[in-house]
Amino acid sequence: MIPEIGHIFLILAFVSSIMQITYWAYNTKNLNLLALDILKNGVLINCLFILISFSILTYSFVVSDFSLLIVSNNSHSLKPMLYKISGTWGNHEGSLLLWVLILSSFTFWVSKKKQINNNLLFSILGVQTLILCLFLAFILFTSNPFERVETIALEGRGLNPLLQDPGLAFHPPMLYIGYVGLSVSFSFAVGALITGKINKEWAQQIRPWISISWSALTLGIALGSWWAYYELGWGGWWFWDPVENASFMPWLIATALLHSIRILEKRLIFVNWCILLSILGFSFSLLGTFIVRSGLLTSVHSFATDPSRGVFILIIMIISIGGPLILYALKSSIFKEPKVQFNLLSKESALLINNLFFTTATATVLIGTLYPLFLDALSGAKISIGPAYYNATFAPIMTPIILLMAIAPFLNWGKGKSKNLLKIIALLTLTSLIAAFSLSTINGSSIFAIICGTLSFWLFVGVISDFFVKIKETKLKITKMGSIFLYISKIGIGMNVAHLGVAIFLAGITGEQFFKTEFSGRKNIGDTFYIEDKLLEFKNFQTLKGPNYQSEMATFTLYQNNKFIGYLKPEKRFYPTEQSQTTEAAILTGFWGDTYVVLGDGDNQSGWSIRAYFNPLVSWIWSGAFFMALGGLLSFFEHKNITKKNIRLT
Amino acid sequence: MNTKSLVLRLLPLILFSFIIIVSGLVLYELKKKPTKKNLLTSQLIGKKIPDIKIQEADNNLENNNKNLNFKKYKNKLFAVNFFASWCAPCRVEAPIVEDLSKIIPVIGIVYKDKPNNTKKFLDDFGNPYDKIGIDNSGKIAIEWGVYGVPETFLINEEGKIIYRHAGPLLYNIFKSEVLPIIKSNK
Repeated sequence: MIPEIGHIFLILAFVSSIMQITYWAYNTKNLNLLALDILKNGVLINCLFILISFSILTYSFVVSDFSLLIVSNNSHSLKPMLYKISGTWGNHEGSLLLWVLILSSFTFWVSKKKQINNNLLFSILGVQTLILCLFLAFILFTSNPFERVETIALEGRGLNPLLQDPGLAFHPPMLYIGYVGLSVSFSFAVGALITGKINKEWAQQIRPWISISWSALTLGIALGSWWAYYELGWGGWWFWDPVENASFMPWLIATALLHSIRILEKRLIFVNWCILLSILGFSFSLLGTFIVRSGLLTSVHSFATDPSRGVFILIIMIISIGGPLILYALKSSIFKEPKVQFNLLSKESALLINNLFFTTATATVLIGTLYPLFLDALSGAKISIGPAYYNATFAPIMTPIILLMAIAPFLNWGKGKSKNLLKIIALLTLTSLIAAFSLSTINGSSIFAIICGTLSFWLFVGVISDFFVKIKETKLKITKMGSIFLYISKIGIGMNVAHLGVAIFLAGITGEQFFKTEFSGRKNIGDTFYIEDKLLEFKNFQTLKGPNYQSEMATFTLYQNNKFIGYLKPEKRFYPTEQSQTTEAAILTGFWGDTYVVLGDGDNQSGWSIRAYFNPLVSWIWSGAFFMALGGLLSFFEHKNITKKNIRLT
Repeated sequence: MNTKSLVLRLLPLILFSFIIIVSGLVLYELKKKPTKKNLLTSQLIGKKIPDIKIQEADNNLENNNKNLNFKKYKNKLFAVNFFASWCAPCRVEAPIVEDLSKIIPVIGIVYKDKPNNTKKFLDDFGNPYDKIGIDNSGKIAIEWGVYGVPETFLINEEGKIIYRHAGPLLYNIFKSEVLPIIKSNK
């Protein structure tokens, strides 16, 4: 009975969204305040209905109602509560319901923004509701989460054990916030095309949505990568897998947009370019969903493959992307840009180059992701494009971006001469040369290691000096606690924090990619071996019973310089319900690097096969990503302070 | 509007259409390929019955420390039915299993049950089983890929599973699916 209520509310949301779109299309020519209010209330109703529906689905997972198909396929009564709840979105149907929940919540949030111009808001809400309606149709007609089973199973099949992990429990919601956040900037762009008006306020109002979705995407991708690192037991953190790329492409576009919108906000130029990027950002989110959910590409993420779902998503894409692109082709010429001139050495041109490289990078990833697919369609040949392609194409594109990133903050807008520029470049070059020299003295460093490490250092010095220059220039004193936020927003610390994150991230890559040491071999209880200067002793082996799995666990003791550091306990887990096995790598995380041990097959006589790594600075990769996300979030709040017009500082 | 800028404005649309058309082609190819439905239910079909020892029950349905022997059924079509006294659908299918046992021998495997309760269940609903095996730990059910009780398998002369039905063996399923298989294998 209870699931049926959830189903009914989902249908109600679908019907109400159809009504709103009809109403919107009918009133879009002669807008009045009443129509806007009606649409705003409709948005609230959609959001509430979907929230009820989603809560009921979560409830069904919590009480393990196996009469629901997706619960019996993805849950198990013995599963820990966290994974029962995260099981709600750990499957195709539930994750789509989460998608529409986030979409309707974002739409509701936009509808509460008073500063947005009425005409624009009306268009935005209409476009958002249209997307919502398409996705609700997709859920109801091809992937109904409330489908019942004829015979009630006594036990569920369980959630894929690989997915039973805290890192992954929050990976999809984060990514979805990112994807859906981009739908807001998309609707802003379509709204601008419909209303035919664009101004600096438009740019100011769209920017926080880009910041927040960019931050969420960064966190989501980082969580996924972190999970792959410690759960899959491959010792890597990014595999250029099509599904990873699917989330990475919207991120690249969002990064470009985040920078180009700054130019629009300051100078009101590149209007069409920003509109196109806003459309593309969400298009790539949809393309990502399409790739992941249609089973077009086979990858480590083996999701349910059902071609009829693919056809439906294709239709959604044609309507929601094809439509705006036609609109763009027809109407983008109405935006007249002032003819402005700027120096080659100015912030505008730096940001423009940034955009150029980021879009090229996106195209590179897109080709790498879709090429195997096209080849398969045209000739039937099955190939897979691996890291070799991306290392050769993607890394060189990123290098100039990093170089520019350290200098760009010191450049001025427009034709103004930039002070300090020569001094800064001299400082950067000098310190980087020292860094490069000291890197080259490290054992086993290659030319690429030196380049990568030096770039990280270059950027680090750039960011720090920019920060100090800003503090000096603002000449502010913090008198009250409350004024800290004003202070932060005045100096624009968000950008510094995000760029600092990139520097940390690069340092992590340098360590992990170029200075990793590996041990692999067969060891028995009592044996010892070295990785770098670390001594590992195989202490014992035991079998254990977990809540819903059986485990074989080995214990290693780690010593460094004859000092005890800690225990490492790699496991192999067997999940009887799912009939599958997972490898739990044991990782001892340190500031300077991780010791990583994976347990393979073996027995008492011949010993167990052991793989062990020392990954220098690897945790910096995710800390870097965390700083980037934090920077994005800070710039979101900076914006809030600016729009409230309370920049009156003492 | 000059042509150059028009081409530039149309470019995204053209690229997008290209991606859509090729993706559509790929989807069409995917659709043409026969996709296996119910992959899990058909996994055991065509395979030999799982090689696992099953304890046979004595008359009091206690463990009699004897292994259930499938040799008796060599060169014969027979059925294996997983059941339990606590399972409501098992009561529903009881009369149909009774009918089935009149055509071919049925081996019952009692899943996670107390001997007393099983005895009561068989007294109440009749005992259609040729032999009864005991699965107290649920291990046998895992080996057989049992989704939940009740579940019924048909095994042919070569000892291979040829049919599996999860859930109660309702009369229409018995008539439309089970009987034709028995007929074609006799």
